[in-house]
Amino acid sequence: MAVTRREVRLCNCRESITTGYSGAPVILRHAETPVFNFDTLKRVLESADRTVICRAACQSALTERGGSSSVGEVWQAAQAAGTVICNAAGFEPGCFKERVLLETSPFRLIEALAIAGYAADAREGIIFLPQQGGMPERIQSVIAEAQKEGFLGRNIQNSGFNFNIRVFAGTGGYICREESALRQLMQGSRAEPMPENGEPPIIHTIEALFQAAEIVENGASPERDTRLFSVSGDVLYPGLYEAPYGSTLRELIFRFAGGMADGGRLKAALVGGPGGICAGAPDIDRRLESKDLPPGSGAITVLSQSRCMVDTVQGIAAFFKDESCGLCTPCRVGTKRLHEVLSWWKSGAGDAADLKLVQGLGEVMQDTCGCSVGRSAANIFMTSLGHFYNEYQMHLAQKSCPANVCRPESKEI
Amino acid sequence: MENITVKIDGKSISVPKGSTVLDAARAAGVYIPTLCHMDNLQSIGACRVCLVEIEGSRALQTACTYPADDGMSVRTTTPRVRSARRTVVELMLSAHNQECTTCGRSLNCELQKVARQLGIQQSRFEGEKPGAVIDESTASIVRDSSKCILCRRCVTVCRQVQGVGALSPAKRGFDTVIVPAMKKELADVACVLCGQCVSVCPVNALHEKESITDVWEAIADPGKHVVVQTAPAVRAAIGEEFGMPPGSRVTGKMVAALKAMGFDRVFDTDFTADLTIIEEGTELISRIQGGGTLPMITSCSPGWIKFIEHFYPALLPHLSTCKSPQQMFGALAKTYYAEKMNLRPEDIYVVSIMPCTAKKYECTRAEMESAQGVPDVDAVLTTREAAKMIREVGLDFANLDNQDFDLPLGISTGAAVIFGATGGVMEAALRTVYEILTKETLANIDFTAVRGLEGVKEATVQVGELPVKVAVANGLSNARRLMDKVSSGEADYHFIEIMCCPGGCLGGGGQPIPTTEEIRKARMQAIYEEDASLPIRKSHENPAVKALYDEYLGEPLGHKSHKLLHTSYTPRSQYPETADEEAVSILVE
Repeated sequence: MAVTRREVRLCNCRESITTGYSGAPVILRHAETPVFNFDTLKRVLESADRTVICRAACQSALTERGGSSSVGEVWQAAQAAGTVICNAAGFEPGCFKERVLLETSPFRLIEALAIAGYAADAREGIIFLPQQGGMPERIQSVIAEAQKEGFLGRNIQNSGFNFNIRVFAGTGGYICREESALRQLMQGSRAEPMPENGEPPIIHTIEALFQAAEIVENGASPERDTRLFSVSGDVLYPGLYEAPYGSTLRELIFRFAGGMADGGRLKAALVGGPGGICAGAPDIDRRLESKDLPPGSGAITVLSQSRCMVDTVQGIAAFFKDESCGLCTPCRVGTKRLHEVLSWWKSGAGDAADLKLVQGLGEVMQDTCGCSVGRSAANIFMTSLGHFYNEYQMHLAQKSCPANVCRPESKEI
Repeated sequence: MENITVKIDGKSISVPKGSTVLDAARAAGVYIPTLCHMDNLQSIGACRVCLVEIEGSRALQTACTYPADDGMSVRTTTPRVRSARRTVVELMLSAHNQECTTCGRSLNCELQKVARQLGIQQSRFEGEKPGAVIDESTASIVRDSSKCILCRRCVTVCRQVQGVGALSPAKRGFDTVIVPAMKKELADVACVLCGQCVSVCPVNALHEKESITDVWEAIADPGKHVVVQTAPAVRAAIGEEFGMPPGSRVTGKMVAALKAMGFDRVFDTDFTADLTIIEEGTELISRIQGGGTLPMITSCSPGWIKFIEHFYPALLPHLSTCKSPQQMFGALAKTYYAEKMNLRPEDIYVVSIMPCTAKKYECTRAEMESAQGVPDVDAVLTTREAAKMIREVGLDFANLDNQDFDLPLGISTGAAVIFGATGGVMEAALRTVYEILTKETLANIDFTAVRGLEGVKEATVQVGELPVKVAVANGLSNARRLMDKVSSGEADYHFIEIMCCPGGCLGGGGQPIPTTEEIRKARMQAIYEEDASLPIRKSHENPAVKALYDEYLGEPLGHKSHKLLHTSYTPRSQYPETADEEAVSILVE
């Protein structure tokens, strides 16, 4: 399949966005300055009925994360005068689409949320921004500008539609990607995925919101079914790429991101962030779609042969140990134990029999944790065993690290 | 109500719509272990011990949270389920202080029970355990974080049942701890020390501060005359500690056991419960007739007293100035009884056996010192501690022969026994106030309108010309409802009875564990049976109380009464005074 770099209306950009992401400030290579543009909203309010919009959105393949119903169905089922929430706190290691969209396209975000609000017959939109990198002041000023120009507030563009947006800058952490945890936080409680009663409000991820606006504007079409992929790690051009759903890993790494950096050879790619899948070099021609290699958040972290798998997985285990909310036992204690045991393996402790025990722990975590964060915490470890079982064995049985990253022989426990 | 049919392990069962899988399994007689679940109070799927396999669902689900659906098929004993439950409990154990043999909850620990049921012989997981923070700051309750399994029951009961909210989770992930606000110690926050958290704790992370050693030492001291008083609710529950069914009336056996343990005299708090009715009833009459502050509110329950001091200090003038029966007893033991026995107050050691943890705190209050330099009550034992001591001397409690309380502080009436149940103080007061005011004999002394486990009860009783409006609340969130009405001036009651714990003292924080709704009902029945079985059932007919007034006190609300039997209260803040830096940093996290 030929990949063409087509116009990305999705982000108000003329070309695909490429960013460098290494924790340092993001440098946008092709992004324009955010443009004040509410044409789509204006057209929608002038011409379209909310039922028409919902019906159009029902045709699309766009569903919410883990959701079984399309965006259109979600809007249709919404109660009048409700709230539409944009959860922009999806940041995770290797995933930076939220940040790029917030930086480059804040007006489109406001417009897309207003369109969703119109479709769902809502009165209020809330943008939940993460604690770090959320830029609440900037989003506030964009909201203020939209209000001033009459694209938010009462009777927007004389359409009779009342809609306002406020920013909720939270401290909830990674767990807030879990919708019920986010709702708990917004109600003033601790961010934990508690079982809830009653009709939940509509929560969209930032990417889904942009895609929904596209669909409302241009209609659903398989040709326009694209995803944003955050490609990072040992590639020549790390960045955010919009690519057709079902692109292969090879296309993302070699065509979009320019191939491996520094002449390195591909060892593995972590697809879908820290809770995703560890793909090996033989997976290179697999398609990034739910029935093959599910792209999840669209994060693709590319690892060259210079990386150690035990070390990489230990880092991911540290992330989940720190981000566990502490509510349920298998996540609270399981993430801690997983991190501890990987740290021991790195430093040369443990023996081959451990591997089976920890594999069993991983299975139970996937099977029993209370939310998607906990259930995915052992995913990379579990999937890494498929391609890299020998590498674990070498750490455990021979006390050696093939990539020379860990120093198992130098430490004693 | 609409019913649905669910299959549990192949067995079809019809349950009301809205039931959980756990409800359905129980209805089908299928046992599913739980740790964090509390009926009608908490279903949060935190412990994940109740995992089951639901046909068509990819991951395992928690039975306590998963809604049962028509046609659903559930498996509770598959190898996958058993292995997952086992791993979850092993993880829990790997973060738990497993000193089981020396643990206060050994053999009555829910974690131990679940581990045994799942056949766990070792925890395969090793690693760091959470740091042990032991908070012994209060006189009543000890928190031991090394035992805590983070089930959140204490948090929920404190917030929802008691409306206090003294405990919350802080920090995240493996570092999560249950702590008082601002990570202060319990003594420095608005905790009322009711012990409902202790009562629901599945392990020993919360327990009473024990006084067992002190009491044994006093008994062994030949220079001490050790007297013990037993609260009304204890006799309706202590049998449970020895395997007897809830609701067993064991007053005589309890007295026999205490005598065998070596107490010099075994007396009854019921004696001073009768005295309380005389003093409090007289106070009520004088407030009604003299234009005093109304509604008057009872003051027997020390958790309730601490609650109103923290949360409704403006309403303190509504409280009766009467000390609680425990403290009246202590005051009389060290004065009236001391003189009668020709003993020095400091040579008398007063032990109380109470269904309550707050009583441990009450006896340390500065006001509770009637004879110079000695506290009125020296040591308080909960029902559970008393049972431990009885076990320690190896008594076969269930087969002891009944014995009677000693004289004179062991004589009491049915009106005093019902102090142990919510509504009991009110009923006892009505029996007396009615007869004093009208000078008529009550035809029916059972005021059933104020009986029962309902949160707030109201009644109007015609006393001569006057319709007396009364209200009764049990559990502090129910007390809040009444106090908000009093604050706003909506409440036109004359008299309000408030008991801190659900069900009254029979459901106290010092009672045998577990205390469930069913068990509360059984204990309540035992209390009313005991009342009905007694020859004298009105406090003002207690001959020992009459003798006390004749020989010593003079008259109700008289000078001596005022000195010995009445007290004062202290307004307190509901917020900790200062937040230290560490605490603030936790909040920011």
